Amino acid sequence: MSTIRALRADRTGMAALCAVLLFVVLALAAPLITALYGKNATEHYGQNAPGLLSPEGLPVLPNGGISGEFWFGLEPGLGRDVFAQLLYGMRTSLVVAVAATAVIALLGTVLGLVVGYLGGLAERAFTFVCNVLLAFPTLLLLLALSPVVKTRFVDPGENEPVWMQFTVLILVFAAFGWVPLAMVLRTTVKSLREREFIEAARASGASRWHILVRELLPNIWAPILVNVTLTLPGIVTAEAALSYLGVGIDEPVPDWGRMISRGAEVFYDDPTYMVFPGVTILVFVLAFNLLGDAVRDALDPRTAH
Amino acid sequence: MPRFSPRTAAVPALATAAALLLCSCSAGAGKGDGDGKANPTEVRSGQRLTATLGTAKDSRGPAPAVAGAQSGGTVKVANLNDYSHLDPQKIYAGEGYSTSLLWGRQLTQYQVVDGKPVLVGDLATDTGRSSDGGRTWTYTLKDGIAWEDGQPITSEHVKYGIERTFAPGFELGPSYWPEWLTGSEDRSAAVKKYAGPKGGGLDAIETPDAKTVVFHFPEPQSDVPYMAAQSSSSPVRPDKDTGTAYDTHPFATGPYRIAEHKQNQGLALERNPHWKAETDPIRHQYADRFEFTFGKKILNTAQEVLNGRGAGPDTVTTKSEVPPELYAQAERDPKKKALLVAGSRGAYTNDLYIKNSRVADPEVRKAIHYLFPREQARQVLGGPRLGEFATTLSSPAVVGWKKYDLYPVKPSGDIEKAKEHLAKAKTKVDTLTYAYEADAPEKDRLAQVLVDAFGKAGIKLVVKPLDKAAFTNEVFRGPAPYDLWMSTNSVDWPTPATLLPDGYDSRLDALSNGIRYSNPKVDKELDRIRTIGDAQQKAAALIDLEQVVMADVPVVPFLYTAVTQFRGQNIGGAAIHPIYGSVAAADLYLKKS
Amino acid sequence: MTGYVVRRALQAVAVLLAITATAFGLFFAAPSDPALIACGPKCDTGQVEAVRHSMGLDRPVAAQFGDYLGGLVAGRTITDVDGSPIDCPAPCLGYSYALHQPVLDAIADRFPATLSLAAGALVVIVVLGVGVGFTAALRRGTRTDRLLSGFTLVGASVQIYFLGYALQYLLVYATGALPVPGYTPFGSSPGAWAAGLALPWLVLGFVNAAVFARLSRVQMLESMHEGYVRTARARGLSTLRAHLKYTARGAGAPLVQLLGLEAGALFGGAFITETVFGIDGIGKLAVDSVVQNDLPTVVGTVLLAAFFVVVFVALADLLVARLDPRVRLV
Repeated sequence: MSTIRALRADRTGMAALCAVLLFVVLALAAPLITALYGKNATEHYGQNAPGLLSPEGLPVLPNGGISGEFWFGLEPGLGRDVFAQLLYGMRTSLVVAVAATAVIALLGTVLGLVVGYLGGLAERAFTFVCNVLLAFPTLLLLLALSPVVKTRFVDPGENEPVWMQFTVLILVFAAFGWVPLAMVLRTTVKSLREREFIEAARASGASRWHILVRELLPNIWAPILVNVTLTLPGIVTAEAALSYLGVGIDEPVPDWGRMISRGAEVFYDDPTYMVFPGVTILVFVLAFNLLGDAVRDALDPRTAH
Repeated sequence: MPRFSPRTAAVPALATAAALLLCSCSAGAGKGDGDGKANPTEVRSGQRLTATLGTAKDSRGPAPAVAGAQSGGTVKVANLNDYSHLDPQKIYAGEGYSTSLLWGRQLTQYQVVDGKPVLVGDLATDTGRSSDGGRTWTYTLKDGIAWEDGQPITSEHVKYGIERTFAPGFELGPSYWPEWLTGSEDRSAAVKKYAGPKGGGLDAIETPDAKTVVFHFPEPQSDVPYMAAQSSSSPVRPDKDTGTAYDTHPFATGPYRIAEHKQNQGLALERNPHWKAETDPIRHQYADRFEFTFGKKILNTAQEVLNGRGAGPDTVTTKSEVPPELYAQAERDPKKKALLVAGSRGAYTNDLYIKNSRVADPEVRKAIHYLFPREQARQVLGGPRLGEFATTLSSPAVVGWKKYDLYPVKPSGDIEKAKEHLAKAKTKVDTLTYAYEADAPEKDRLAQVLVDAFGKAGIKLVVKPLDKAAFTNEVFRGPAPYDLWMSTNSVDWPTPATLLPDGYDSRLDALSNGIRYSNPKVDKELDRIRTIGDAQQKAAALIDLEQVVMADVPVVPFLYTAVTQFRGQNIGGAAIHPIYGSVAAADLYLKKS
Repeated sequence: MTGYVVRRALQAVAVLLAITATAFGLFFAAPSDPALIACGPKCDTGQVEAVRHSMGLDRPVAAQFGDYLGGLVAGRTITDVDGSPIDCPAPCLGYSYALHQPVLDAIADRFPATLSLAAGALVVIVVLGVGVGFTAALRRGTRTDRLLSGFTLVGASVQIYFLGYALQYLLVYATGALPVPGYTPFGSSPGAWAAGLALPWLVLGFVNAAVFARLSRVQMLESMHEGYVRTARARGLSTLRAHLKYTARGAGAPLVQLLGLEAGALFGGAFITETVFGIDGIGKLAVDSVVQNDLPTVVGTVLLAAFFVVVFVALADLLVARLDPRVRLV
């Protein structure tokens, strides 16, 4: 309770929370907003109507083709609506980040808890796996994995299903992302294990399951929460980076990283186009980081003097 | 802990955002297409630039001087990647042909004057003399031609070079010499009859003396002079044949020799003192040195060159095009525009290929022809600088080319007409697959343009981005479950001789006839044409047959491709080679400042 | 101490072995066929098989892995596409058919660029990160603290590719204040070397400094309240000297460990920074080789990246043990 009170007293934290909630609401309401706005994220407006794009595909109007009709301008080349793309891109980022963070929290908690409690051989194996995963260049793996998945698991006569693209991304992020959380929890659980209340529970004949779930778990939710607030913006960033390198979510699903990558191509002729996704990601990640800071301080009174 | 207030925390963030917004006031492309004028330069790629055959007099050196050329200095060439092959018998691409002219010579070669190509004798005194109805071809070597160590080039060296094309490890090069000299259907059959110089000499090439090479072909061949200009018709001296090492450091016959080649880093050429200008009607030796560097991002190179910074003024590229990032800007600024080197990309065309065995109904293929959004596709790929829209299968650079437009359609496509043809189709088509090499983001965008156009005509287009390395294998071999793909292709030399016979005969394998085109009438006519020994008649018959083929719409013509490269302000003589489609390195010189 | 070093070394070898095996296995699952690529699109099935055989790709994966490990330790002879032998001395990372050179040479050619980028960026990270963190801690609660923390938080939240392009636009394209970024060998022109890398250093440094700043601030605050600092001050040491002598020392351990991780990651190649600025280093080599399905180079670069992480983390641990008397090596 004191934590929530501390959080509510933190003005920056509350502002960041509001920003994050605003992003979530915008993402959820994207279909509604675009319906009211009258544009969708996939139609090639600039190609279907003459006079919007030059023959090379650049917006005819200055500042990226911003107009009363296209609020944030037009995408160079395909001529899609930037505002609608940004809104839907937010959904892509949030889905991947939230799902991957959830899997990471689950994996990390289970592994950290069990390994910390058991110790011994399990702990040695755990340490080894952690070391391998920490040293592995994740980005390269993701780059290499995408064609493997596409050819091995997708029928040549079909598009790669969107859910599969998301699943692969989420699973790979999760496969490498659980390590820090599990390592922290292991240490915490190891010290808790020796405390009287666990000794007492063990002496009274409580089952392992009972000790893990009823005695230990309630005592480690603080590090889990801190980790979640750190992981989520990290995955938003990593997902955008992958799309920037060309192996994220495929067309035509809107994606911020791909928008930036397209922005880089037309940077000298139409810098406006890159500013929208660039600044949006910056603000989005910044809000999450500020919120994460606030949560950490509220949970850990030591750093907050 | 002290919390910073939202106000102070927001300051740096807002400052960053503001700085970025300030710099983002872009001018806009202006009313370009709206009123239909002031279009950006469309590179003329649809004009005729066919190579004619030169005489023995044309074949004499020296090469016509480049106007204003100066001697001396170092030309810097910045390309993204090193050459995968320098071995003359392994080089098989336009730019490689063009640049290797700096150090390598062939039996014949294209002399380019004012942008017009003429095929002349290079090492040989003329483009070749045929007898026996085209079954025997004789070449006489010039006097004064020498290797970089001063030893003369003999007929034995020419013979040995061509024999190498049969050897294992040389599958990458063109297969015409093995096929023609042994009268075989394909290279695999040819190498069963003769497997390269390790097993002794090839009887089909005779060298009665050090100056004479005689080719004996089992069947009449009309295009030998053009094949003699390919890199695989370069001489190789057996004592200098270092095997795989020859692929990184060949022995020179041209105006320059390789001083140093650091794999994937740099290639330095110096003047070859034993090359004599009076023997060479094609090449020049203006610069003292050529220094190639590899690995630098094209955008960075282009920025240095167009803005004249660093080594930019002395730099040129032979492989890279102006990056899309800088193109519009270079078009606007006359100073930068002067540094662009644009031209038709040889005989290359870019077409939408249709697997005819899968899309068997001509009505469906016609529908695809009508719905294909040429304008929109070119727009996402970069605009008019990619070249003019094509209506013919072969490029205007091909000898005897005739313009035709069998199914006229406006560039943005005609969805209504497409629907009419789809309605006439015997079986209803609702899904097609489109495969492409997933190596560049504009190809993803092109796929979206096609999805949009097919969707409007009621066809769901499934798009398959494929690994670049695996593309050929997946699209041509085995069951190959793809209906459509884009292909940029060129005939091996600018005559009609290789286009239809090597790609549209139904009896060819899936690697040659990748679209599985099959028309018995065309096969029969090809058989008749094959027996024609006269080059003129043969070309005329093939040009006529092309329209018969295209009436079936086996492919949808898209572009006669063009290239736009760039050169530094001190680089003179830069022009796109009309046959090889890249900056012709052998004409370059350095302007003294 | 010696026992500890030996144990750490054995662990490191085991980790690297596992990573090599994983990379090896993964790329055998890749869809494209290196033999087909080496042979070219015109090869028929028989020729492809011949090339596959001479490249040794028709042998079981386990046997190929064994060859690879053997070459790494003792060197080996590799067969080229046309059957001719290529000598590859230890430590042999294989031969790249795509680049026409041994993988180790390809890596060695590009390493100076990556090394220059990483070293400069590390300097920026440490100076900026630790400087900001310590200043913020010493002036905690003030406006300076808030501004500095906000500044580093923006760094932690911005994307390298966005910031990189934005600054390139402002500093190179619009104003011409800096030359076009790129790598020039230090030996050929130290000025051009520094000028070409200045922007990448700044961007990479700024983006990564935030973690350092935050950690050093927290560490500093904590150790300022540790007993020995208070004792030192009681013994009459000036505030500043007490901080320098003990606080920074106590705060140093986690920072050194973080620096180890960071250095390991940077020396293995900064993929995105190298891509954005067009620096032909290990990161770009790795990305290119994945795209071209150049298996030996992919495994080589993965191994190299992992090697640096393992080595630098181990070095950091050793350094921490020397720095902080409270840490025992076990």
